Amino acid sequence: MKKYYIFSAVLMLFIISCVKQPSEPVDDNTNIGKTGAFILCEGLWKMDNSTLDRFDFASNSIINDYYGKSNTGLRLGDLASDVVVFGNRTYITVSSAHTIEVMETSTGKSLGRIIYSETGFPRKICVINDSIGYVTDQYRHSISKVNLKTLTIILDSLPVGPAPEGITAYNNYLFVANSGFGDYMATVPKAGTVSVIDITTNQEIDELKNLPNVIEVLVNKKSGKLYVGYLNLPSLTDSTGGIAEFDLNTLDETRRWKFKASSITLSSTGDSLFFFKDSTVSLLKLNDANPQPQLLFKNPSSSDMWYSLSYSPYNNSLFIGNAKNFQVNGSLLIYSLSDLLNPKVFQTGINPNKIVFF
Amino acid sequence: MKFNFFNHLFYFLKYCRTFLAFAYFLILFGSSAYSRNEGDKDSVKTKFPEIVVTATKLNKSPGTEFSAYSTITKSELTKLVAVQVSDVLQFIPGVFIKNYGGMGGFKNLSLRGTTAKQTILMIDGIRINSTQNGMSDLSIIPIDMVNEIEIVRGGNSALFGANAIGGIVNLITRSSDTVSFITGKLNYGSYDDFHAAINSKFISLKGEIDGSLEYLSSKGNYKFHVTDFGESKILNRENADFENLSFSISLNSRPSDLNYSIKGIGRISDRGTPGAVTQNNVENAFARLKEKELIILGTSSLLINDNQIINLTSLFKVNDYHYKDPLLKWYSPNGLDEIFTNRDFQLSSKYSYKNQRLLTEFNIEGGYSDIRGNMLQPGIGNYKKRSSLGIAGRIENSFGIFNESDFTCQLGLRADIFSDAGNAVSPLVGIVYNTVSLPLKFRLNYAYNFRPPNFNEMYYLNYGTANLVPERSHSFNLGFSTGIISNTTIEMETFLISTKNQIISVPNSPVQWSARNYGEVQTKGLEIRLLSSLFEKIINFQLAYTLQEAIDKSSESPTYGMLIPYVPQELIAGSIDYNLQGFILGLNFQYSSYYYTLPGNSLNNLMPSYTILNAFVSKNVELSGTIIELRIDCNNLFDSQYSVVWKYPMPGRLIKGRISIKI
Repeated sequence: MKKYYIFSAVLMLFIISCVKQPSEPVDDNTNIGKTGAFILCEGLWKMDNSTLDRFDFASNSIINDYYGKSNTGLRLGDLASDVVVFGNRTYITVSSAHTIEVMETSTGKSLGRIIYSETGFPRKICVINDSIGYVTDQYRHSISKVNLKTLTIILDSLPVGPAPEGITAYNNYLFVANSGFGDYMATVPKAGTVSVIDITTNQEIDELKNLPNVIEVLVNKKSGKLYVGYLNLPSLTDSTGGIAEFDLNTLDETRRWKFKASSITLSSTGDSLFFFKDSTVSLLKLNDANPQPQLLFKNPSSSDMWYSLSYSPYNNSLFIGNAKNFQVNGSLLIYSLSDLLNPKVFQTGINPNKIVFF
Repeated sequence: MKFNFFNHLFYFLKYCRTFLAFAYFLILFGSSAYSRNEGDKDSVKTKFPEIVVTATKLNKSPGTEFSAYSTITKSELTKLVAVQVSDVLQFIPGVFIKNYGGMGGFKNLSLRGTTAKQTILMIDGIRINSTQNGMSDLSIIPIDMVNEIEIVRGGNSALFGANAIGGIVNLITRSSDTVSFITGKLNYGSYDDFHAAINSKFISLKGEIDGSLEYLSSKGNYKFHVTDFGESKILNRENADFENLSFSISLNSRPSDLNYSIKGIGRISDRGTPGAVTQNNVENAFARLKEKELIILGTSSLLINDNQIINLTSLFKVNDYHYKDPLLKWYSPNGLDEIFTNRDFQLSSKYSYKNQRLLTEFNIEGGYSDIRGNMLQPGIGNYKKRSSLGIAGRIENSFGIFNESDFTCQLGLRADIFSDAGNAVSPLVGIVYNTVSLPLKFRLNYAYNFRPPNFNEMYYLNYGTANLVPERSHSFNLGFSTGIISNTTIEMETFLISTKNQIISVPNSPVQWSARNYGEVQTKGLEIRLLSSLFEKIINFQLAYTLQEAIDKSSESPTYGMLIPYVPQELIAGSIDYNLQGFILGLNFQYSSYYYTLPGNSLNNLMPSYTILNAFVSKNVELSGTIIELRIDCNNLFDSQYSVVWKYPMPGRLIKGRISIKI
């Protein structure tokens, strides 16, 4: 009889050893690869719920609220508007919190922040080098110059046009989109223009005109062209916005396409410009003699609002931030340009408004 | 999802053990008291009609006995030391006040999980909701002129017209006092909360004059906790100061065949409107709102004979609204400067015929409203007007059954036409079953209700949508009330409200929203109200319990099936006071379960539950016919840190003193 007990005990031990021991799931950020994308989710105004998600190419997975998980007790705040990666530093403008949050790219650890006065509203940031950046201040109708090493503001308020949005740089020149905030300040001087500012003197040397409600500015270094996205005025229901192309050396307008376009992004080769057009993703083949917008694919859901678009240089795909109805958690859609029929979907925070790669 | 009463009962049993234990004790206690009177059945019969404690039948709005109906009497208003209407409404089941904090914070009423726009606020039976935004801010309505408050829960558009989806709140101003008096009150408390009021009534052989003058002010600079950049700190609420000066005067005829009354209410207010407290920021930190308002109400009734009466009512209301926020620089380089003037005229006549069992009413109502302002859509200009016509009829008939019970039913129908906001036909059916042998009354009510879009929803700059249609809503109510326990009234209601074409704000972007006929919302629930007076009113007790669930039923919404924001599933409020030799010691509390603040029901936007306990002690002294009341209140006794609206902190402990003199 005793041997039966021993046999039973051994058998039980064997069976138990085959059963995987349950372990408490941990949020482990250590096994992520070096390349990835940050998805900035601006949240909702007055809700204090902006987040930063991280997509990892190696594991093909997403970490929601990567900033919050990497920095216990910290949050981004209200209305995170822009994110830029520069080497191992990532800069996030948080408009309502009047801050630029500085984060180590590889670990997500907070390195500190630049804090503006309570009247400041940092909107978009352009990093010139590891020590200098320029930021549009939407409420003070100005830009500021910041020291990214000491995290201080060098020049608080350089006047530009009303309600500046996008900002970019080429050689020693800054390009600032003076939106005028649609109809609200459409009649204010410089509304609907792009200010061209000499970085060495911080003086405006020129302005690009006839760009009502201009939002985006994008430099194509490979072709030496500037692409400007404008939305036109909401009250002008019979006309649409469009994309204008300027020669960066002469500042002359070279081409213009009139249609409702937003979230312009360039391919890594610089020969294709992707954008949202109505409820589609379309492209312009810039090297064509007379390029016309070509439909790539449609938004399959009428209730989803696609809110941000970025071309991924790592896997030749388009990353789309889907804000859904702007009130619930959004999603990241990844459309491979070699397989547009099978997008990958990942949940994000509320209102994914900017996607950048590192 | 079908309405499952037993699910509610299960939740009720699960979460309300304490309440049940107390109710059980009360029933046992009351039953013994009732059994002592059992031999004297006549006395039981004579007590029963007063189901609503101290309600005055003269004031009761017609047709309301078919619905969930509650009143707050003058003595309760005094006992709860109300300085704002919102202070007392939360002791009624189904009521949730969306409170932005402090005396000057906006206080919007939600009845049965509906929105503030879906509830009618009335003064003496005349609607005063703003046609600009559909609501009435409870923080600025002068309370001292109010003698009694009627609350009818559930939809009743056939009786009350537009916006009666969640219910109505009727502020009755006419005092039932039969002798002239003057009353003066002074309240002063933490954060420089100040309230002073004079109220008087003079009675002559020709008529009565009522008047009140009231001043409210507060610095609103209470402390609250925040965590910014990982560091916890304590801040003061800034820009929350508030001033409100109001008066009312009314001339009333002495009771005769021809009665008339004219009332004027004026108000001027100035307040800071601080916004959400987010990280390193307070929205609208310099924003201010100045308002002026004048309301003139006229009522008259002509008793033709014992069976026929004609009532005429009229309203003129004008509201000047000036909102300024110098920091909102996207509107203009100088910020936002918003100016509106909103005017309303209403004229209504009602003919009633009543014989022994049958009541017939016919009502015709005309309205005209307009708005002038600098923040209307570009195609509108700066002026928009609206006219409306409503025609309604109602029949109420009662039948006796076996001489032991009464059975009363009503049928009502109302048609409304608006010049710019669509049309609506609103039927109503109600039944009341009233037993005589037992003090027990059952009621069943169904109504199809509506709410037209307001001016803001249709025409406000970059928000309004001109082609909106009225919201439509089915409302069911089944309830009973009983006085089977001596000196105790128990009311219990179940309800279902299903609203289609609900007008909600839909974001076009995270910072820009527009109004759309988008939502479909279903709210269902259970309400219990218990009122009890023990030991010859030495101890008075009341409890209001609400269990409800408001669900998004919009078929294409990503939040289909999820809870609607700002509708707590459970609300409990109660008060108890102990009276002895002129001293009154009282305690009251309010509890709200958690709720979501965004439609996605994300844990990130979960508002935690809270319980607030308040206490007071008062002493009444009578000197040569002058009644003096001295009182000390402590609100939020345990200094709870909580919010009702996301990121809008509420005040902590508040101590205030009061002296009141009545001559």
